Amino acid sequence: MSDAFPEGYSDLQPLADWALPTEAERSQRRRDSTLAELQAFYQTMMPRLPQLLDYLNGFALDDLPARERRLLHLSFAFAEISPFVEQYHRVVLPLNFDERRFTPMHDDPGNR
Amino acid sequence: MRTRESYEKRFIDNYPDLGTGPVPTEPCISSEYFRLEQERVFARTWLKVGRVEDIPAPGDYFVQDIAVCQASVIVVRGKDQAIRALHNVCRHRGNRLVWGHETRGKARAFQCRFHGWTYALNGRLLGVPDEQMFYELNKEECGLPQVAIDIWEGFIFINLDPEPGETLLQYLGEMADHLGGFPYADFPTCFSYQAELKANWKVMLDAFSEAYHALTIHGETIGTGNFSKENPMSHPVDVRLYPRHRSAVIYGNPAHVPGPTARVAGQYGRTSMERGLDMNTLPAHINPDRRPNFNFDLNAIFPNFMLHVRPGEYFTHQFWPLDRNRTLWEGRNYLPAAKNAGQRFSQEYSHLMRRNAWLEDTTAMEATFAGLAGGTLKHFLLSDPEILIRHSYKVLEDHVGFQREHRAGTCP
Repeated sequence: MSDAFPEGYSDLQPLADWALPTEAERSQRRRDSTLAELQAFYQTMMPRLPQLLDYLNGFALDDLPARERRLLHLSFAFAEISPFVEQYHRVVLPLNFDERRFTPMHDDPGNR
Repeated sequence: MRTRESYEKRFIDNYPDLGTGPVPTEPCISSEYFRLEQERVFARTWLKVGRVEDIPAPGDYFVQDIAVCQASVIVVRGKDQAIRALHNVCRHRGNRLVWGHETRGKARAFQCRFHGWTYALNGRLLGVPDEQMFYELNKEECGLPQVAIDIWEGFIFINLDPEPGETLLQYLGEMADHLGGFPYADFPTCFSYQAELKANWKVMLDAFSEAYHALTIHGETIGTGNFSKENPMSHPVDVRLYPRHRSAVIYGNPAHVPGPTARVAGQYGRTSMERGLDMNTLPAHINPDRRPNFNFDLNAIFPNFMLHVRPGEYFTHQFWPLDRNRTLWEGRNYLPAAKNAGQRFSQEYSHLMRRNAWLEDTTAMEATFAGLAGGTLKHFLLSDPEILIRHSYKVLEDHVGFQREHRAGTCP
């Protein structure tokens, strides 16, 4: 994916494989990462977040073009990892339920 | 005008009949108690099964299993827009009508996979292959058995008792007044989780009924959002106990400063971490004094449903017993329809923060049940801020009558 994200967001290109469409995939990706990887994601993304959301707000949410949709999924991945960097300082919670047993029903559009 | 809140009052003073003694653990571990719960509670009380928004158009349906009663119910919106509940069992030889991946969807009719009997959305038997070979078959009398159904504020409830002794509104009683008028329909977006836990269903209900565990279990996830110097143990701000149901105001620290991502999320939408929200969006009887220390209104609707409301959202828990030591839990966050990407990001962050706390809760629940299961511990020791748990076991015992009958059996 040479241009996963819209023009002006090429600096986020190294994070492209975080732009996963479902919560199950994003939380799995977080659990498969090291804390250093989460921190790198956080440091790249955090300063860009408000501008990125302002940009996406210029589009109709239910009709985002593919690259803009990927950018939104990247922001969801950021929401997934952010508390683990800001607050917990680890990739899984210390009192951790096996997250694979915790099914996000909203990932299945039929369950919305 | 109250200038300083007291967090040291004892709620038992308002409900002295509850008593202050230890509470038996037996209801959580006994197979006999579980059997009686099935018969005397789940088979004859109103059980919430969904929202009207779940099936917006004619033909939309979902299946709700009530495993504890070995029942399965199809909830379907008919061509006449009426929502009906039908036993999910073919009148021919008892086959499950809808199962597997078909347990949610849109149908024009229901057809049994076994021999092809077909039923209309209202349960009427439409077609029987090779019908002439049956003896005296009157199709008019062979519709799917109807299940009692009623709707309150958009919540669909069913009752497996063919003739419920009271309407849903009578059953909800004071709770219908307390929680009525919240704009539930304004929050159609649902982020929900499901997990099967190795625990009795009441262990889960108990844990979600008190904030005493917030400091130890959620110290990192919720942080200072739920406690402060003035209320260091997150005592409830208020407690109301009804004949069946119960309610508490969970404390929120108005001075809580959210972290950097929560601040961004708060600029683009509303989040579960915010404190000191605009209370005037709540109905008049929820947080009536509009106190800034209100986090959310916690409500337990007997037997297995929790409905919590706060400005800008509501969230629910439901506990479906599978066995005395296994429970299917469903946690749901209901939010407004996001109007743009910024709001959608805020919703993602908001519900993930709650998920993270729930991951801690569910871990603790399995550990609690593991501790109880061996039967070493005969009684729980409950503090005043845990009064909802005390009330819960009393209401359950009122229905089940296990200890009453046991005593009657042993005392001549």
